[in-house]
Amino acid sequence: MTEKRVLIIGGGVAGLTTALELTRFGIESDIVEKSPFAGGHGIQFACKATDRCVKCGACVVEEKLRDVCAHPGIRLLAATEVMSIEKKSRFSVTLRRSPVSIDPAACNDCGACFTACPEGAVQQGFSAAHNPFYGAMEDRCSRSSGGSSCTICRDACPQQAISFSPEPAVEETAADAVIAAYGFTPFAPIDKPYGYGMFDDVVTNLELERMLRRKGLPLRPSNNALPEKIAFIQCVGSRDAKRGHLWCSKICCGSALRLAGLIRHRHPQIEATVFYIDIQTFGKDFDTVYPKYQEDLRFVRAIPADVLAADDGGLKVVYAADGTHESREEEFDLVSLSVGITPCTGAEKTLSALGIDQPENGFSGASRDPGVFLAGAATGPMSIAESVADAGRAAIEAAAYLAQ
Amino acid sequence: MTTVIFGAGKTARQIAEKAAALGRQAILVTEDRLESIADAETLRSAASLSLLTETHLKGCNGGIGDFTLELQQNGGTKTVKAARLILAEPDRRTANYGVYGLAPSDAVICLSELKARIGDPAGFGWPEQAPKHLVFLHGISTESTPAIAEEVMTAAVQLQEAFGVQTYVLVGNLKVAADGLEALYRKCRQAGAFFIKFTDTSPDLRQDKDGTVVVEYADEITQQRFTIRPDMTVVDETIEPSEKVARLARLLDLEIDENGFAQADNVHRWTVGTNRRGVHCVGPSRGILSREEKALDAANAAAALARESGDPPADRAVIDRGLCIRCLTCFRLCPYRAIRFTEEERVEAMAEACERCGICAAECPRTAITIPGLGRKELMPERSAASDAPVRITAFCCSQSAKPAGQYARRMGRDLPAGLDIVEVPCAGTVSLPHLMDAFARGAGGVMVLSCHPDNCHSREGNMLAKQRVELLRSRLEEIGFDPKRLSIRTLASNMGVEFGEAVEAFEKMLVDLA
Ligand SMILES: Cc1cc2nc3c(=O)[nH]c(=O)nc-3n(C[C@H](O)[C@H](O)[C@H](O)COP(=O)(O)OP(=O)(O)OC[C@H]3O[C@@H](n4cnc5c(N)ncnc54)[C@H](O)[C@@H]3O)c2cc1C
Ligand code: SF4
Ligand code: SF4
Repeated sequence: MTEKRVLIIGGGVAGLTTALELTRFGIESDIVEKSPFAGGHGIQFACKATDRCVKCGACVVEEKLRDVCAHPGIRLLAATEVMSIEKKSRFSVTLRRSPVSIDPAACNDCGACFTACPEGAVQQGFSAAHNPFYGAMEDRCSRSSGGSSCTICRDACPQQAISFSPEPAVEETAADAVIAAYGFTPFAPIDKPYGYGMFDDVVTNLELERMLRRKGLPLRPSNNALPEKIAFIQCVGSRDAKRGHLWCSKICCGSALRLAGLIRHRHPQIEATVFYIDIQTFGKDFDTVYPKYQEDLRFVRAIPADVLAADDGGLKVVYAADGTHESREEEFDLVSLSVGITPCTGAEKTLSALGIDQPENGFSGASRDPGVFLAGAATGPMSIAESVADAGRAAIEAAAYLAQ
Repeated sequence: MTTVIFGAGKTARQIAEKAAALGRQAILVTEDRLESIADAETLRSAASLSLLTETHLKGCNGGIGDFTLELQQNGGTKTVKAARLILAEPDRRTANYGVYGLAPSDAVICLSELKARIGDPAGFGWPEQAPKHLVFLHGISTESTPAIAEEVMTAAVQLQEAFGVQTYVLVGNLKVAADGLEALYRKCRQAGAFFIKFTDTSPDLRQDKDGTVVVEYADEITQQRFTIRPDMTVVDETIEPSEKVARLARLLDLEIDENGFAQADNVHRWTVGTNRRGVHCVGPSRGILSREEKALDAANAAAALARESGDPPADRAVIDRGLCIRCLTCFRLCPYRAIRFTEEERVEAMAEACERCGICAAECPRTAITIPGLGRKELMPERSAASDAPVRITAFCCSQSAKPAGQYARRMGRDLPAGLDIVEVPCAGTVSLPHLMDAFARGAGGVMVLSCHPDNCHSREGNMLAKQRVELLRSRLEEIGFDPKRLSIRTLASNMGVEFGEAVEAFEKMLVDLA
């Protein structure tokens, strides 16, 4: 049975965990991850511990990624995508590698490419386990999108670690089972009336997470200074019947409260207000921690109608105040939009090649092919812990299938 | 390879079936009487299964692959050998009459009772005698859970659609963070249920002598006052661990969470894992889970059964029989219950259960315990710091947190102190007083212990033990006139590269200022 191989699409916590669980049955796998940085969304989150761990689970993703990198039975192919996949006696798969490649052995983490790229396409890794530590995001690189012959990053690299392949590099491989773990796409709040994309100081929860991870500080993008008053707006793109998003994303209440709690723990002078519909239970110790958050943060049970520019460079949040029919304007200098989990975009071709159904809500259902399994947030909103549990289920199902 | 499954309910059976499919022998052990077990005959006739009813666990020795359970049945005792143990006991539900200040009556019932009536309408004279107006009291002044919210909303839809009952759901935070619940909420409202939400206020509930309830409340948005006179009021329920789970957790020395479920609230515990290898905890034994999560647990428990436990690793704790005085410090402190008594009444570390955290070796008053790689001569800095550095710092870094955080800091291009020596340890609990003193003796101007955050330690409280030792040594250093600031401890997570850099840089600055 050991010669059987599994292809895992997506290197988020679900894909990583499935690979690790499969090794317990002696099954090896290839993880194909389209971004240069494996670990999915979770690898971008900051630790929100205050005087103790608040159980956000971000460090679990770090742990899984480290374990995967150290495991000889798992091949992690970052900056790689499935170009085509076809079921014959096995699945035959054509992979496509990103046209910009950085040789991890030659790279010394100096970051010259990062500084040099005029498109901001070169990004820094989120973890010590990201090898190479810098990577080019294809969607921003002018070589891959515009067909330009820009060589700025390559020329900037003192180690000659960067090379371009004229055609996207292609690799053929085969698999006996496939795990689809391509995760989710965070809701894009562009057409919400919250001024995202218009005002610098309106950010998403994911951007706030990244900022805390990389800088340790919740800065206002407009002036790189600490804010005085932060608003967290919940359910952006979730529980939204108008958009047909009839789901709660499960994780954003916990995320916002933990982020706000961390910020107040480190900077007690900053005030934090949470605008919400219903605060969802998160974690086993919710009954103990929620009263503390209620004391520490301000909660307003209303979903704002607008975010407008204030005269002094701040932001005005407009919402219906309790007990009156009137709307109220209140000033903040940083607004974090708790954007929700929406179905993964960009994997449609692979999805249909794998015979994966799409139920009404747009997430992935089951596959018609008995050799294809789904894991993680690809099937619907899920926390990190739930994604890990789901990956365990997918792994044993795949192992049972391969043993037949 | 026998598996003992505690419980005879749905989850326990699901796992037993999966064990049978894998060709594993399973014994279901339950305190319940045979009569109270639904469909016990099919259980008893399954070939790969045996059922022990009215059986109580009295004691457990050994570890994964070789547990010995002492069971009591009908006054007699019985010894059972098992490779793995699974806790699959159902949870316990308490009706929240008291929370709402109501007494059960014909007009005030709990959620489970309502479900029973919906399940057997004829038995209760429904639809003729069904209520016309029904109020749910749900998660007001206490926080509910998606599991209960799902039951409330499912019942409300059925009441509205099948029995024409007008339902009112009075609720604090409506918990929709589980699959399908937001859609169910919409469906519920479409079916005609009213949802009335309470934030800073709560409804006034008055129970009349005939048991019926009058509900008065002010709408939080309009401030308008309303009165509802339902002919039935349904209180929701709180889910708690059962006494059986609490007893099993105690007897098996399992970590519990703050509600008493038999799994620590620690993100590093595997889905159905406990602090003991080979002891698994599923579904309602480990927490309040949604329907989907329970199904995932059963699958994961089956995955655990499918695994072969390989050969025990060679680098685990070993207790020197000559030095051991059986003070039981290791037995008390091992977070994984890897220390056992042998038949000759000696104390022994089980290699297959030991996780190599180093806590026992650091705490043993006789230094009778050795763990390969963690001895005083072995725990050395991985690279010696530059000799021209202003000050040398030894940082003991937990491999789970501070070690990767330090690597991340370096890779981000952070200019870490030139005199920083990193000593990687499997857990901060490894770092003993002699380890700390040796670091000073080797010439460090300052010593740091960088551990995981409280509640995040893989080894329960290795971080806390390290902290105690650091504090003890600091006070001793002070007594001999040595600045205790030269010894410091702080907590980090693996993703805290920036904070790692800030911590060691500030420590270096402090040491330089001291000099
Ligand atoms: C702002 C925010 C905060 C959150 N906070 C928390 C929290 O505190 N605690 C918690 O438990 N959960 C939290 N979550 C949820 C958490 O992010 C998810 O549970 C988790 O990321 C799901 O893991 P996954 O592997 O299924 O998906 P993802 O993390 O989305 O990973 C999927 C991976 O697949 C890759 N991929 C996608 N398409 C393809 C393709 N076609 N080919 C190859 N690769 C592909 C992606 O690049 C990605 O790396 C949060 C989510 C958000 C948005
Ligand atoms: S707060 Fe989150 S990242 Fe930090 S230690 Fe706890 S689980 Fe890990
Ligand atoms: S090293 Fe840790 S796990 Fe092993 S026996 Fe000692 S205390 Fe227990």
